[in-house]
Amino acid sequence: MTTSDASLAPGQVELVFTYGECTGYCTTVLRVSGMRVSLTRVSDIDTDPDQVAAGGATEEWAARVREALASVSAERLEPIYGKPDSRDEGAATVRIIRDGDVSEHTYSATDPPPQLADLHALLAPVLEAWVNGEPIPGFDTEFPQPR
Amino acid sequence: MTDDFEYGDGFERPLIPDDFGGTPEDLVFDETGTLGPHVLTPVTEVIKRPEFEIGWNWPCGLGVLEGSWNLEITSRFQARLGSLRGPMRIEAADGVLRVSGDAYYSTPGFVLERIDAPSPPTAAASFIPHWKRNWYPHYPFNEYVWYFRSTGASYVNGQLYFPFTRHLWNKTTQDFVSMDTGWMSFSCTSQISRASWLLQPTVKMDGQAMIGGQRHIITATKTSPYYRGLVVEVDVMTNRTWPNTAGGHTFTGTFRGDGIDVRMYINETNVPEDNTLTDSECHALMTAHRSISSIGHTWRLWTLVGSRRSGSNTFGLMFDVSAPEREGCVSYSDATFDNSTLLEPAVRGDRLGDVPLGHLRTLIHEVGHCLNLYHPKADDHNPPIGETIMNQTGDVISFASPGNLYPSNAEFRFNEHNRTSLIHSPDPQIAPGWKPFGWGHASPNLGVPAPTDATGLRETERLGEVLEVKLDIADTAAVGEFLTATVAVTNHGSETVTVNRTLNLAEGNLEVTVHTPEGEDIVIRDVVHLCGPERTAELGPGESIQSVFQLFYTSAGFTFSRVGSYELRAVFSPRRGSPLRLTSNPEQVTIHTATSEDESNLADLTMDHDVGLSFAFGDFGGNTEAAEKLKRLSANFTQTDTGTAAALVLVNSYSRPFRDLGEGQVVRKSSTRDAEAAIDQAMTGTNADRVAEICTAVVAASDTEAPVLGLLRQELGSDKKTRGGKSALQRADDILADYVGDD
Repeated sequence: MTTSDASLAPGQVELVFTYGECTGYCTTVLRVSGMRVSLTRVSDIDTDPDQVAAGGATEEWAARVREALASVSAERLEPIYGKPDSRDEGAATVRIIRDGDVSEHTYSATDPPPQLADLHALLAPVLEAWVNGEPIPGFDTEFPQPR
Repeated sequence: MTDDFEYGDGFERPLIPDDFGGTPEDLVFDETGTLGPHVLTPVTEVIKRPEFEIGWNWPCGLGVLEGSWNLEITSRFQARLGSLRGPMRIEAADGVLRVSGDAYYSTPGFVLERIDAPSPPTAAASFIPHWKRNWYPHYPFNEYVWYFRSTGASYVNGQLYFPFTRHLWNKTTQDFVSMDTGWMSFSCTSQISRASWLLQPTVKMDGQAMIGGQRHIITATKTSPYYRGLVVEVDVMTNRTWPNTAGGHTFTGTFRGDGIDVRMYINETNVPEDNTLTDSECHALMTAHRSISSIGHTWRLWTLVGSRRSGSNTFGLMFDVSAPEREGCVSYSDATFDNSTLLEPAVRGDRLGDVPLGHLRTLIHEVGHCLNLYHPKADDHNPPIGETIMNQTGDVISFASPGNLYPSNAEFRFNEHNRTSLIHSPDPQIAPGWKPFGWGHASPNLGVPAPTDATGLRETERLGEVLEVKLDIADTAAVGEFLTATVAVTNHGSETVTVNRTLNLAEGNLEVTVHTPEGEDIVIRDVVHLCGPERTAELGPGESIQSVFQLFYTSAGFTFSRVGSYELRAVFSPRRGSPLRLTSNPEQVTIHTATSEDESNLADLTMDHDVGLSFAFGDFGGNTEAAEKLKRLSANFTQTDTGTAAALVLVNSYSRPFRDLGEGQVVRKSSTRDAEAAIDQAMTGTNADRVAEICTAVVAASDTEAPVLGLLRQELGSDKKTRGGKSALQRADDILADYVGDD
């Protein structure tokens, strides 16, 4: 699925994790734009504020993301794979923003499609470590832990 | 193992209900099993009306039918019908009458069963002592043959009649492949069966069935008032607790409320502390802590009360998605509720483990996933989203209201769609450890109706019970070495069977699957595909047919072009048109790089596509460059299979002219001198029988008139001394004679 969204910066990628068998802060978002990285937890409850952290990645990690991103052809990807979160494992959505086009691809959080496997393997551990309050390898800055 | 921690012993329902006798009226149910003013005409001529003895032997009430039965099927006409039996589930309550069941077939030495004395559920049908008197017919998965489901039913004067559709299982593809129809008719009387092998006095029904177009004797013995049963082992992490009871609900009570007899055991309560759990850690814990593993074929699964899922605030997960799947799930006690006003105040911000009602609901929900249930919002059948068990917690909360907050609003029952699936879906879909999660949510009605016998097999498919396919390949080889495979098909049955005799990769009845070092799975065949009439062989008991074919160059090009470990299996179709596919043992082949100058030189010559094609066709055609390389191989690599194969290709090629069909001209003349020189090289240093094997491998498939075959037989028949002695010589002649069809 490709849509035009000129307000988003080119060459940006987001990984969104959503957990269905969950209440409250059940969505986490990792946004990577060049070497800038932001992490956000979003609650189901509108009045709960988003929890946000931001910082910089190492050159090496950012280069690996660029490389993984370059190998992905959005046109060859499906908008949705299988039935994500059908056994409570969570759903993952990769949003790729390139040249003003946005493509979204959703799949089971534990079973990325082969074309997105490299990208998923780079991004998912960042979200996992942040939510766990663990050090995130590959980053110059220390992220504040989510509450 | 600690004491049974069960609440309720599974006997909330009596095996034989109070309305044992008497049916108030004739009851007819439609295709969905719903009672109404329907017309269903039983096959009355085949139904033997029970002869009731007034006062003590009267027709059963409808409620007696409700529950689990062990169905046994025998035949007056099929002496070889082995043990055919399985679970049958009858739902006979609240205005519905539905019947479903699964059949399992074993051939224990073709024992003729007595039709008047059904076998006790001994070794194959498992149950455990903890199950006390109610039990469930669980049989080995590998004996599964079919599933059936009623398409209407009537119950008149103790006579249960229902037509059904039957879905045939293919053991090779592990899927339903076709369906047919039939009917069953039982008589149910108030007579109590007290056979010694039964775990309690119970009801037995006798009757007849039309299965696969043949009449059968059927017997059903009631095993439980519930439909299905399984064992759930629970292990609890240190400092976490199992929610014994909450709001008047229990784990087992909820399942039993919908007819599933879950026997739950808390085994460990001190699984070592771990603040965050990855999915793979859950799997490792299951492997390390699961105790209930040796209970025969009884369905069982494992549940962990754990801490927190790594990287999320998930409440629970069915984590087991590696084969055998669906055997494990987990609840995360340390996950937290939010502060939503739709939650009861005492729950807001609490850990799941501190909210027994929410925790219990999550545990039942995850076990539901182990039984292959979907969330209603993701189910293709579109059941309503709401407050029943298989809705996710967030969805249940969304249905809460100020007057009915979560978790009190949660319903401790399965919705009708889930409940029907738990009761009536085929065993492979429900049984933990069988088909993957998500399987069976589409229609199993594949293929066209086809007559099959009661064992679920067509005549040809029965071959799968007696034939063995064996594949044999060299363990190691260097890149570029000519490799052959030997495939043998043996009849282990007691009767002669007819099988396809063409064991080559060109005619569609044999192919080889290859798992490459890169992890790719490919299917290889010959470079040509031949069509023609099916050629068969009669294989007597213990007899085999065998064939050698080359694997060097196939439909995949060079089969072993890279170094590393390959795994190969031969897949054989014993009769044309049959869906049956028999798979051989796996064979490992390790391909290594050239480790000597000789091996390096050999690879330089063979890893040429024209040379590869020459080996595949058994002829170099008009390609003189390929011919030159074959000559060098033949001359420099005598005593190797590669050199022998090259020489035999040269013999075959030089024994006949080659015409360029485009130009219409002969571009290669036959040359007796070159052919004789090549055959001498072929025989040098290699045993006669191996030369014969390689010869049949290099000639084009089924080319029984290939000149090299006759020349080699002639050579072997001459007085020349051959390598390997008389026995090799005799075997070589047998191989060649068999190939050309000489008896």
